[in-house]
Amino acid sequence: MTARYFRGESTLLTAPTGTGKTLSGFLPVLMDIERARPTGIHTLYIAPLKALSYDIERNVLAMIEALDLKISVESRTGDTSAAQRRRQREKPPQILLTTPESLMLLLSYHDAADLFGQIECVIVDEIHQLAASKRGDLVALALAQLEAYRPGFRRVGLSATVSDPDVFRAWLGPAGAPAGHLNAAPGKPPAVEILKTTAPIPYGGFMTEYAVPEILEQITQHKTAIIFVNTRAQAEMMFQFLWNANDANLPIAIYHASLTQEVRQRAVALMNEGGLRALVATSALELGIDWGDVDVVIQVGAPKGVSRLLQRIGRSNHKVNAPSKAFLAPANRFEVLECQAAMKAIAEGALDGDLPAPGAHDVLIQFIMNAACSQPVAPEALHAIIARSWSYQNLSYAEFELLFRFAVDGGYALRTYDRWRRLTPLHDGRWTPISDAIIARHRQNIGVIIEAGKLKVKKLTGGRGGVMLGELEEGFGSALSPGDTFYFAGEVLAFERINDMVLEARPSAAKEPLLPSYSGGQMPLSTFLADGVRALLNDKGLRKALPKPIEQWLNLQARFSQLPDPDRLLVESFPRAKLYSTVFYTFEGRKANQTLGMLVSRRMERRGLHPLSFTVTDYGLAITSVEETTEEALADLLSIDILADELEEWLSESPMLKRSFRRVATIVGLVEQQNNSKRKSVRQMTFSTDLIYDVLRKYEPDHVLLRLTRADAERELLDLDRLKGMLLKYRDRVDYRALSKPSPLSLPVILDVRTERLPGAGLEALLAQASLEQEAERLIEEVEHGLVN
Amino acid sequence: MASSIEADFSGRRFVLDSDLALYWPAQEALIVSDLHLEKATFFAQFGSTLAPYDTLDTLVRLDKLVCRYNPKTLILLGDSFHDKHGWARLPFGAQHHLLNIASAVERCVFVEGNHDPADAAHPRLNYAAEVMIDGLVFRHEPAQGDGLQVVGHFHPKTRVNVKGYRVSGKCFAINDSILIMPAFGSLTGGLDLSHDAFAPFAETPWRSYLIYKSVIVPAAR
Repeated sequence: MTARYFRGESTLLTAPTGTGKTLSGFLPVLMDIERARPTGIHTLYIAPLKALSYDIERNVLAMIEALDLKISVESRTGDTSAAQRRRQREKPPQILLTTPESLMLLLSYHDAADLFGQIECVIVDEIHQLAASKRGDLVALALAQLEAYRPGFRRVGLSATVSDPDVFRAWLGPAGAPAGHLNAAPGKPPAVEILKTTAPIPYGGFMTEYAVPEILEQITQHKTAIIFVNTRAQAEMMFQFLWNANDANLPIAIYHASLTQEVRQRAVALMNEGGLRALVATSALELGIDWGDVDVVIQVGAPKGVSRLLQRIGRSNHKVNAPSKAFLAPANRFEVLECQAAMKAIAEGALDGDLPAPGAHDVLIQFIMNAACSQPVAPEALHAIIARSWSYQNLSYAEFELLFRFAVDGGYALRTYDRWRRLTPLHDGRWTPISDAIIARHRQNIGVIIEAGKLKVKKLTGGRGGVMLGELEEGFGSALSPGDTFYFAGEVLAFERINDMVLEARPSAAKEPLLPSYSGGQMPLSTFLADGVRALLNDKGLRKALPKPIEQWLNLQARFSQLPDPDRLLVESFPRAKLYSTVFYTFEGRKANQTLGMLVSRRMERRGLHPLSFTVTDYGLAITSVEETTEEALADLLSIDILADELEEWLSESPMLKRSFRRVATIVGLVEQQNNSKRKSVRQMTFSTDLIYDVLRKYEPDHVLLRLTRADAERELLDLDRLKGMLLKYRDRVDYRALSKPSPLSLPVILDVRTERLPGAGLEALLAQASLEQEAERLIEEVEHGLVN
Repeated sequence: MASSIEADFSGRRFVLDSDLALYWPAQEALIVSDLHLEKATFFAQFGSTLAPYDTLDTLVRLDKLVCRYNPKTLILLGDSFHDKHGWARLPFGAQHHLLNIASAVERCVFVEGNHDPADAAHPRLNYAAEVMIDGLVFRHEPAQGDGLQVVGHFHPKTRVNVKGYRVSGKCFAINDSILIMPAFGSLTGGLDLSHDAFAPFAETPWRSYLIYKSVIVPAAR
């Protein structure tokens, strides 16, 4: 690593957790700084999480102290105080640790070129997490801008799990000059097994309550355990389960991203001191370096991806020569299959994970504003800069100009004077913001993470005084009535009131509290694992290796209906609660299933079947409708032309597209995410972006924002290619089963509570019908009343 | 496409239209509220690039309603403009369009709203603090305990559950003494009927009528 550094080369360094990756990344940097004694920022370190950059700061400072060097290291995140920010700009540290958003903010300052003019090295940590997202696009653009300020600086990418190094190498280096690759020897493969339980594994559900005794048993037997779950809601629930069963009073804590920093830091500090036996955590704890003496990891719920699972398992036992130890506790029967497939992949050394894609254009619009806030920009020059990043190298100037025009004035066909203008031209062809207010507004809204509306949660202790525990989603919080109780931060709280975006609640001893919901908390299953599951179903030998109840469940399915054939698509239809369910076992992953659900339900609507909602899992799709889906109808529902006819029609009206529009509108600065002067509830904002979307679609359907919205949806939600392949593959190869009852295999799918409602004519029909029913009841009452008199 | 439902308020018969309008057959009067014209340009002043089509859309929908009901009286129940400079910002074509709609009926009244005071309005728009017809007062914001009133201002919304499905949308809210109009403007949001703001006027329980796309239904709460 050091040799590569001093040759001036960029490097992607992949090495298992606990092998001193970070140290190797920083060591040559420290040597170089000690030698050259630069006065400005020499090295920039970018991490996906604030917590991670604090961690690294501590560790690098420890290295510096141990080596007795005089090197300044500071963090710059959203939490950095105003005074410290000012000082950092006047006298920058030699090593600056930051996040993509804070880096963008620094790049928007007038003196950015001076601040970064001496950069020698940029380290991108956890590159597998960053690169394949819009935040990665921000980093790519920042790197391109830095390249303009200081051509030829070194780029170092760090990761423990990268499935396709070549793509990440290309992403990291300037366009056409991929970084080199250094791969450390893999450590011992981890010891992973499915946790054996006395209680049978349930058919559906996500809470894994059945495994609580055995999880506690493992906690008792080990020094420190991390219990990983997939969502914040699961974290709250699992913590309560453990707490209620915790007769030995073992110290157990909870850790997720919606808790305040103080609450989280307290948990981590306790852990490092050895004061905790177990920590129930979400992916918020996946990254980072030292978490005390963890000697076992328990993954509760499906692993969802091999790389993710390995990352989690790597939290235990940071020693090179001993294997990490982990147990998997699947929540339902399908998840057992997924766990089995993941263990097989680990044994074979296979990895998965998202790969970087061409950069998103909405992020580029934000970047254009960002660049203009720093110094006046000429479109040609800026295009040349961004074309030097791998992510944007193929963006034509014509397309760039359209995005630039949006940044200037919204680019609407109907324009009244200069009312929409944000940038104004100078005499030399460069553009600059029309006012300082525009610059301030931009800076307050930098970033691409669009959060659901949040309410702060305050636990009242005395009168109105109390402590802040964290945040809840507004949708959940605003539906509470005084006296309602809910789980939060490992406690049961009783709602009192919402005051100025703060939800006030008191500790309570209520028996059946509500579980807060968090949108976007679900992790997508990697397609790699989905394929693994399908293979497992069709291999008699592998099936025999499954736990007995699982094997019996599959055998029951084979008798009652059938198991999905590898080359055919199984579709089951059955009545349920006065409505009908149709289940498609596609094994194509959540994205493709979601899209299929939208398209098929649209055609069902057209055929008068009145679809009402659908449930998507990684394995299949269940659609609920008022009328039954017949075999005759099915051929039409799965015809390839749904990709043409229904797609366009659906795309434009879908609530998913409205969510995409909201994201895009926020990223490009059409609406604000944050505005300190006027705090606006996000629910109100959601409503208004929906309205803007409708109006724009009606009057300017070709507008650039609508194209970006569609691109966002395709990137985040659709998976059209996979869907097309599936429809072609299964043409005339559908096994249709009309059943009298739900089949064994359908249970995990239909019992999934996370359904997508369809706001279409089905709902309209249902409403009309319901009001007719009310009307009829009223008429009957009147008749009865009349007869009595 | 649009549908309507009949409802009683203060013993008088009204038609509630899913196109966000109230029609009073006995008086041949059409009422809409809270158009918030030029809301997009208002926000554009602060650097937002909101789509500029809200005024056009709102006026087109109003025009269609007027053609459909052909009323003698048209009442715009306040906040017709998003702010007091709204009229001045209206594109010339839109000014013309609005004046045309206003002159297509025998009597068109712009009731003053908190966003659009009469003194800032154009003299050709017939502004009034309130309108009284057959014992009902039409004003923008309700006055507490002051007889029978038809008002706007609140942008009410409500929710209903149908077979486990939750539907929410703009609504009419009616009780024994007050009728609250849904907001008509294309970029207007809403406030749930359970919000504290409605409490002072809920002397008798609300009957609300939920609008979802082209359907309007009673929403028992």
